[in-house]
Amino acid sequence: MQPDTVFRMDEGYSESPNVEEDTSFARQGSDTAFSNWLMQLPPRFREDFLFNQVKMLPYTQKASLIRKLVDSQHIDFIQHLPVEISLQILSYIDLPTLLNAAVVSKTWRRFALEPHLWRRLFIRENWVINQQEVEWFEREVLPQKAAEQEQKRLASEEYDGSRVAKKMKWTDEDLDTPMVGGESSSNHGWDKESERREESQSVTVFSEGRTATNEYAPSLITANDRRPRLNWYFLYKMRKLLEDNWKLSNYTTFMIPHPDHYKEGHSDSIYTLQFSSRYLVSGSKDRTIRIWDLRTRRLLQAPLEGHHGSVLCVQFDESEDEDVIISGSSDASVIVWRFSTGELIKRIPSAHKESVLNLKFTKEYLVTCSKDRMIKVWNRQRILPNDPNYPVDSKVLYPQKRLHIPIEERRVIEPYTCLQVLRGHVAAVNAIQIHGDEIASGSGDRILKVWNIKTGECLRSLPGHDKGIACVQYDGETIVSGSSDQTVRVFSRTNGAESAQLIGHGDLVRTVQASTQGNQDGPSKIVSGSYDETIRIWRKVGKDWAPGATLIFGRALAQARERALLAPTRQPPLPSVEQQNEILAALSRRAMNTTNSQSNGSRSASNPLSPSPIPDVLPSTSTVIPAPVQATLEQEAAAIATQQTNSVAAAPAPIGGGRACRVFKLQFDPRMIVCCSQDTKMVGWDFANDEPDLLEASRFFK
Amino acid sequence: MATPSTQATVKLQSNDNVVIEVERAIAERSVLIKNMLEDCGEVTDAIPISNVNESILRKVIEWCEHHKNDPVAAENENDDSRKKTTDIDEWDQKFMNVDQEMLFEIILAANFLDIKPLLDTGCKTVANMIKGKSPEEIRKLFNIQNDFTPEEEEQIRRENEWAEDR
Repeated sequence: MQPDTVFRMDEGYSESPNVEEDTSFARQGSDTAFSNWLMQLPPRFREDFLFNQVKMLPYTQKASLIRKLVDSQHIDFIQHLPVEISLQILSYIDLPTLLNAAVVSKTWRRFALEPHLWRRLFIRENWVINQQEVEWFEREVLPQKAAEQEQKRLASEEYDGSRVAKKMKWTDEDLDTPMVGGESSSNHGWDKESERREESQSVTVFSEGRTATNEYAPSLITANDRRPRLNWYFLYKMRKLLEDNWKLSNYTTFMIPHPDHYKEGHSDSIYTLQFSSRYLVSGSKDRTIRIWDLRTRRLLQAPLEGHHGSVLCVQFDESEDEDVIISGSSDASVIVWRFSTGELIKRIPSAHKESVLNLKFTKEYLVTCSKDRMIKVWNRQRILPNDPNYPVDSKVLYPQKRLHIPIEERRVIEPYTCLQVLRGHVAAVNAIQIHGDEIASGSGDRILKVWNIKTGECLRSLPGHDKGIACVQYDGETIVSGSSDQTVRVFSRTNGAESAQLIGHGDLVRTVQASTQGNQDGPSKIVSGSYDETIRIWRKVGKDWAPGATLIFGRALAQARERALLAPTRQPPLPSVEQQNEILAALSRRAMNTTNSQSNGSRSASNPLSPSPIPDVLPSTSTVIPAPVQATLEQEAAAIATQQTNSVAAAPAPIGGGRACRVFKLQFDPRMIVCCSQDTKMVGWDFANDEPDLLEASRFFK
Repeated sequence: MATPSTQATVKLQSNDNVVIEVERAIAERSVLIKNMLEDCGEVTDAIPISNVNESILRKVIEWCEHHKNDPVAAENENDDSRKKTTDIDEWDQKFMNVDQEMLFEIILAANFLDIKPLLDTGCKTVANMIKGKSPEEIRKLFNIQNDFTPEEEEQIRRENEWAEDR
């Protein structure tokens, strides 16, 4: 290093204004000539020199010096580092230590419970956030809450004539003071006084009257922030407790329809269902599809009639840009419905030669599978010749494969044109699942296959099951399947290997779902439903799958019924009447819009077009169901076990008593399992278990 | 006279007025200095590093020298993947084996000079010091006064039981 013009080592003082600021970390006196001399000594000599000096100090000074030295080796960084750096440090800490940190002191508690940290931990658990709900909450509820808080604060200031009262709580001042760096630009939502002042101007007119925020558990909102925020510490905790309820079998049961409104229910077995955070759609042997409000468990509109056979499969998307239900039936047809109105938009009369056993759709494609051993891929949008995704690989449109199809030879492809027919299974294809560009399928021929949705190419064939496959789940790597061999098996897409066999069911496993939440690699939880009338929960423990609870359909139904009798006036929790009306109003608005606009299909004449909620007692027309023409239960079962000769042998006696309840379909989310069976009623297990905090928090989980 | 692109070294001046000459490539591990050099072209005067004293500046330069060939991390690196791991390579561990005062000074300097990998390493080092420690151990480690009453502390500890494995 060369001394430079600005190098003023021997001047003995400094003109730099920054030295003043540096005193926090004790380098006072370093600019004297003496200390410069000292600093030039090798550290070892320095140590000897200083030790001899210190030895000569009087005892009190010596002791105090030692204390100071020790203290300098133990620095509360939260007091000294900028807020965002302290938070970054805490972001590397595991959960148990973070909770220990929250016990250290009041300031540390404030830092350790910072919502950003817990949101990150939440995501790291692979738990899924219902982003829509979070955005809504942040947009609608929090500002209102902020206004309330501000009012209270202003009021208390008026009474106290000072801000002393505020000091009793941890405030932003507590966080601002320790910032020594002074350079912190982003303050992670910790507010500045000035911003608050401005806001307070505009909200003083707010009347105390409308306080929708009072409906929310106070824990949902951070308590000590000036600007209220969603409390991710609370949400993390609730998500964990919800998962614990699954492990400990803490749940309440419910039934659909609501026990006070039996007449809204199906009149025969329910083969299929799907639910979202708000709605449930079910399809039945009674040939109808019904749309339910999941929270009130009430029917939302008149049943959808159009199929001439059992409704075997259904999928819906209530979002505004989709607004669709697609259903498949034992009459070999597929029908596309408008979700909000129940209007029949499109019918594909002979989608297959036999029963449509399962279907799945994405924005682009509809995939159907059938007892006729085929899988078909249909487009959902109109495709123009210049579309970059024009299906040049379609073997249906271009039977002779060519490398290039000139635009002049391409025609416009209308929605719901069959693009691919996937042949390869030698028995009924009972189940399919789409993931990305791939389709996984399970068949009565005991084989699982993976296909490319665009080219129709079969990419993998996975043997393993001893009897026909009834259901399949696929996440791009893991395939989970249930079979007539009474097992659930887990396969790897990559190497085709079977990684687990879940044994426990006593009959055909008809429905299965896997979840990767709470796990970094692959599924963490599997729920399966069987003709043995039970639902089993399986949990990944380390590398193995451990059987969890076994839920019995008939017993749950009885419990739900009993519970309803014990609390006849009890309303299901959530949402407020106001919210209900909003939903219904929105639905009927959309209904009006869509009926005014073009509509290709027409509703069956026997079904009055009424988008409004139906009354308690249905018009008699919709409860009179024509006798089933075909596709008895035995026929469906036979479709699943085509290859198998003695399928009925091992079926145990019904447990629920009365009507048999072979489980046909289940779905679960973080909060509940909903399940349908041979019975006309659906059953749910709600792991929020009537705990108010869990009921509140669950809306943010997906 | 060297052109800006070939300028081989830059001078950095600590807040206690010591000038240190370093390779430009090493100094440019600091995004702050890199941007400054890009904005100003050739800089012959010493660049004042107003928040950092000599001993810390030397320490930071030592780190930059050792890491001068590291690939520059992509700007939009996934935040969470970065946060997942608290592994620190061996050299860095030794480098960070200093007293708390210096450790926090390094962190502040890395923050000021905008040397993200050094800041991350510093923060991870502190996190590793805390990991697995009881509240009492953390208090001792950082000389923190417990301002909870025994009742409050007991209540918080009970509250924390939700996190235990079932």
